[in-house]
Amino acid sequence: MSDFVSASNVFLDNPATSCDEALKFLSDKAVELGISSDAAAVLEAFKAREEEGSTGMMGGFAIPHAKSKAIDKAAVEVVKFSGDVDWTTMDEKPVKVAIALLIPDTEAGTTHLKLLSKVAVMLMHADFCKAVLASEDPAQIAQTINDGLDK
Amino acid sequence: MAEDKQTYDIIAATGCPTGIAHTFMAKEALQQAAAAKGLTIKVETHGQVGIEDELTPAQIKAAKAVVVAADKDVEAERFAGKPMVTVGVSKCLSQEAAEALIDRALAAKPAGEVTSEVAAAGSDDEVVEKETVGHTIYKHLMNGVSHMLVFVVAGGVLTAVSFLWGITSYDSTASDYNSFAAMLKIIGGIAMNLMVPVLSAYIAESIGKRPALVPGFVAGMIAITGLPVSAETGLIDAGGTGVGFGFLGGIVGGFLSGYVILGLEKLLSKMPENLNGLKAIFLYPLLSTFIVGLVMLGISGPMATINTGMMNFLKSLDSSGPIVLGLAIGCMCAFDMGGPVNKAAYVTGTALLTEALTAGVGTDTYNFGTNFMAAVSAACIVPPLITTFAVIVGKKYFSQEDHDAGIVNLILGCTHITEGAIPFMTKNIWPVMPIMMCGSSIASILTIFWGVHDPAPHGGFLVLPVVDGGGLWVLAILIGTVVGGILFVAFKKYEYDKAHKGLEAA
Repeated sequence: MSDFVSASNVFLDNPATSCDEALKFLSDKAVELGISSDAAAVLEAFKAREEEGSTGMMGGFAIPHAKSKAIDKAAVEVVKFSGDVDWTTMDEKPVKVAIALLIPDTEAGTTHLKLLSKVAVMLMHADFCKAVLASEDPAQIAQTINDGLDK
Repeated sequence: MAEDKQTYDIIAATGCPTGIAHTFMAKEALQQAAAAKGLTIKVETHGQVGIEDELTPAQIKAAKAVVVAADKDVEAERFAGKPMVTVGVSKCLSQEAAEALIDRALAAKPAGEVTSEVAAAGSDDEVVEKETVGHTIYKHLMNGVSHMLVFVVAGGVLTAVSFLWGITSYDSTASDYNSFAAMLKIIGGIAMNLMVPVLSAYIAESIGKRPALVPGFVAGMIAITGLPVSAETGLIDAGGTGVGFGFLGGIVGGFLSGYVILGLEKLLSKMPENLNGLKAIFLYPLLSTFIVGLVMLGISGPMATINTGMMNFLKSLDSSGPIVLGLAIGCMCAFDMGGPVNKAAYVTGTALLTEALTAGVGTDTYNFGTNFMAAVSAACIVPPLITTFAVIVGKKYFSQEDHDAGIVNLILGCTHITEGAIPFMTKNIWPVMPIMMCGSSIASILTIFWGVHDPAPHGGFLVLPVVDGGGLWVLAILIGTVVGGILFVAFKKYEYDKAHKGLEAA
């Protein structure tokens, strides 16, 4: 049983309406959760990745990711928004859920990097997306991701 | 490493700059799409943790089509000659998009020529099984050669261009001195000197991935510098000079480095995972460089002995007649192209030439020395020209890359830069080395026989005006080139036919 994602990394009813606001929120939370000690550096890494190409996907999902020396450990943050977030997506629909990957910039910890990749791959599965959209329980959402990691 | 021997309908490579999310999402989309179409697929991922599920040449060969979905270099040149589509990774993030890409790839026209590595790959399991060892060695070697080739071209051509001002134009005390030519020669020389280290490093990289680059480069540098020994004390001395062992040493060093890294990885695999960072930036480079460096210095120690032994041997052949002497010079020059054997012949040539020039025109010493030098130069000019002849006459048997390199070798050969032939020789030491030796020997023998006298130590055809018997000299070189070239084409044709029989059987 994996416990890579805990309920405290899942945030509901976020009022953000723009991509920048969402990324700012994710960066601040990363510091609160002890993933990083430098919110500004994390935000910068998120934004740098969006500039290379939007991480907005289909069906209301986005998968922002930040790779930075300021990130101390590999982690996942999930945020569900109360309204629509303006984000460039592949189907041009607004984003409802962001699943953020925080990636430390070292060669160590291959195992954790692979877990992050598995989270990304889950977004390609309709069942997973449906389950995350439907749930309003942080523990359950975290569990859905962890179950996926065990597969 | 157990190699995946299965073959697939579709092969794909995915990659993105971060190497965490999109690379793997695209892989998933492709796998879903292939499954929906009832096709088998293998997807190679270029992620943050390195390349996973690496495609083998046999799999590339067997695949019906290739999909590349990447925003970074995934070495797509491997797929030349296959029906292929190439898109950014974001165009491959849904099953529908991936299905469309597979359809487009299957319908695509193959572009370019299949690389020789892929063409040579075994087409059925039995052959793959048999060729595994030989083929992996070849694959590592090719990785080194393809990285080295560009250094040879850049360095060789710049050096050749500097000769246009005169063959001693780099020397500030010479009458034809030109500071720009000197700079060209310096830049060219540095690029040429990187050739063996790059060869060694990328053979190593092919075996042991990135960590092997460090010992690989160091081994290559030792291969060209040798074990430095003090002239005064005869002891190992960091301030001394050594005799390197050229590209053959670089090949040995490359394989050594690669396998030392694999060995260290196995040895240190028991270490806790949180020390991985320490391993990568401290333990691997430190230990591998120490081990490889010691071994390389150890085996390069005797090189000076080989070198002086060869020089004495050559001088002792004075009276043995043109055929024996020419054969010895030709074989030595073409043997290791810059290693101790080649250097022995060249240095003996320049030493005899110095004696000759001191003795003055008309003396026996002059005639012998300049004749010897002409034979050495002829033997050094022939190998690159053989490759030029071969790629023109046997064009279809060579890859585009080899073909272009062969054409550049026309310039390198005409200016006495033997190194141009090294990449061709490295790929197939047997039988290319004896072919080169044969061509060089013929040119040397004829040069001695026809009494050609060359009073310049370098410069190739640029010094023709001062060569006594220049016409015959060029003729001797051309005969050597044509004979060697025909043999080389015959070999490549044999190899090509063999590979194509494999293709038809597949």
